[in-house]
Amino acid sequence: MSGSVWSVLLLALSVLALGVCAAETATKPGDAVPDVGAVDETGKEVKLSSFKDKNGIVLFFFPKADTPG
Amino acid sequence: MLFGASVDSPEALKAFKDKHNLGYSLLSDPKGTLAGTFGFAPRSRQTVVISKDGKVERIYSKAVPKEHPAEVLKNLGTPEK
Repeated sequence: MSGSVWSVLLLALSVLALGVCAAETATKPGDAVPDVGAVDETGKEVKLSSFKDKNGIVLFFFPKADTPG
Repeated sequence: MLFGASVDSPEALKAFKDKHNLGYSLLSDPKGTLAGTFGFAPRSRQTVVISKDGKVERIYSKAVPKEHPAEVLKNLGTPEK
């Protein structure tokens, strides 16, 4: 097999391995909410863990603002 | 609390929120860091429910827009098995 085919295969395997690692470290149901957050639309930092003891959170991810669906 | 998150900038999210008069905050996650925490790829359609004791209650890794809100509401308060 030519070198370029091997390169492509190796790259594909690396991507697969990365995916598996990400899946293993991801937060799962039953886990404590991680100490993560993001900046909101006003530029304010919001931490998910800071809403503990409130009423809970529904956080939905959407692809992009103003796209159909 | 309800939050939406996408790869958009805070400015784009502000415009989106104002345009549609949304009554909740939108989080800017340009690099998909927040999404990645839950094993999601950026620019995807997924939902996380966090209970009031600060635990992840449910993770919906596939959200079909038409059916998803009812599905999430139905399961609120019941942890994933």
